[in-house]
Amino acid sequence: MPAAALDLAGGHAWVMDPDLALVRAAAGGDEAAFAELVRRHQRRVFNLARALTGSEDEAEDLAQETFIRAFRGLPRFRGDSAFATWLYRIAVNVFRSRRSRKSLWPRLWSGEADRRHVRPADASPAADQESDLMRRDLIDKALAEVPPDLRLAVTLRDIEGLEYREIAEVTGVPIGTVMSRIFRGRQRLRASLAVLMNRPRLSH
Amino acid sequence: MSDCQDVAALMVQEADGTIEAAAQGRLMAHLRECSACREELEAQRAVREVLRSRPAAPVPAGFEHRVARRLRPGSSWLPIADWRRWTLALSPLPVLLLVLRLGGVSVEDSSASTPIRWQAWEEATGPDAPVSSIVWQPGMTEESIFVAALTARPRETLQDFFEKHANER
Repeated sequence: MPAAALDLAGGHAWVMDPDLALVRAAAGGDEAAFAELVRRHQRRVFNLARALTGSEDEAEDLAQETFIRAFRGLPRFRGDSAFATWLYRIAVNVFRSRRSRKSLWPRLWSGEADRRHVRPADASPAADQESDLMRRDLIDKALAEVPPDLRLAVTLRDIEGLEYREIAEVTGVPIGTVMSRIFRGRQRLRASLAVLMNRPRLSH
Repeated sequence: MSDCQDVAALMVQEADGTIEAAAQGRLMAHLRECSACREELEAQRAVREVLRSRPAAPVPAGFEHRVARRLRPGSSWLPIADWRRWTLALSPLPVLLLVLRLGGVSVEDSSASTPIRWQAWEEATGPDAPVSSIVWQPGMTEESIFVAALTARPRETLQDFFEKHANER
């Protein structure tokens, strides 16, 4: 097994994917192996889902769907990228397909459209003394105001800590576009996150 | 000012600390002349810092079990709660009642006390037709249609159904 993996890696500069053995077992129908993969990656996948959706329920949905699709797609996983990267790509696809299905009407119906006008800064004037939960909530609400493509780029970079190259791979756009989206995403967040910044607030 | 667009990617890399020396030189040359970009770079750093300080969202308890449960088909009772799965099999019933009423046949006429009699079917629809087409078979009693509606499996053909019940004649 290690010999085969080294063969696969031959010449490439990347380190062997620590999930490879489990991935192969799971692809063969081993549910326990897949359960272990879920345990290993659920934190990252759920955290990404929470940041992208800004809602606990939607995050649970998105994260579940990501793992279900991953399990079904395992036979097609060829190991071109790390399993973790592949999972991110699935999560991004699930996120995108949900966004496009969500038309304006259901959003109006659920009042989501109204909530968009609530500025996070108004919700918590003393944010620097808030608990982790409040801090995360504030950041996620600010992220929710950012257009999905920009939100994706900035979340994968600044919250998940992916390299530009990985973000390009996960979102299927060139590296130049990734950087431009990170730039614009951060620009959009500037005002709504000002309340959480350690430095004096920038004047507008 | 036209350079501002071009240095956006460089500012991202500068804020992230991933910029290469040559590119950094180009960026610094621009920043010396552009206060707007100097301020923007600070803002990029500040936003990045806040986002990186975001506490990770804890995984809700039982998450992996819920995933595991969804991977095993049939282990959940939820499909039963999906009314579309089983009410479809009942659909011939209202149709039949309507047909009987329109035809002037009294529902009470049917011989509820006699055992189910499976008439030889006449090929009004063909053997591959779904069980629901039993409604169109001439001479069917409403009782046999009722049984068909309750016991037929999805995608069962009319012929399968009649063979299954052949020994009840």
